[in-house]
Amino acid sequence: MVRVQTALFEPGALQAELTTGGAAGAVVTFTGHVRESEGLHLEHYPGMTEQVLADLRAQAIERFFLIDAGIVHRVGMLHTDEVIVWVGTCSAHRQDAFDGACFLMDYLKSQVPLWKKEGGAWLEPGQHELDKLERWHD
Amino acid sequence: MPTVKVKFLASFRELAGTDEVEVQASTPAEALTVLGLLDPIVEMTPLVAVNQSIMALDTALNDGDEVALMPPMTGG
Repeated sequence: MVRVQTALFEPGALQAELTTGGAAGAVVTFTGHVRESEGLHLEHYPGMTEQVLADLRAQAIERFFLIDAGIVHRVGMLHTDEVIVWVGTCSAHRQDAFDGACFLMDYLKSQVPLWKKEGGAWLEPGQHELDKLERWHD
Repeated sequence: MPTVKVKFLASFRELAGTDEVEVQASTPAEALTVLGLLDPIVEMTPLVAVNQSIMALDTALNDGDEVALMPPMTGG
């Protein structure tokens, strides 16, 4: 499951869409919300954003032996407290599901064609976000 | 010389004053030079995509290619 959408989503419904197939002993989900904001605008590059997300999902599945993984990201105008991003992973044992979810979120922050604009200014990736990628380098 | 479509995403669209323009250029760098945007964009550590795959600024272009100039990404 990879989706880029303007509509709100329901995390519980997305979790129910993950394929666990009886083999998954662990399901980990993360939901990101908009922190206090007068309006956060999210832009993407249609086509490429979806492809990069699909590649990232495939990498996570292979690397962490996931049974399934999903990524949903909203774009357009978002407001305080609204959901913005969701990732879900399932695996036989919990550590792979946790690691897979962290891997997906760390890459989403700075390696997927998505751009945030808040209060008239485009945001830049923080150094701490870039530093977090180092732990995934072989 | 190939004719290519150049797309500017996010802050680069505001910098360029357009979201899309057609130019004749043999590399993305040359397209930016033709448009007078090479220095301001390179200064902002761009990512370049050709036909939606990440490529270098000196990648050889073909007729009809879509070149995208993207600022640092801020998702999540």
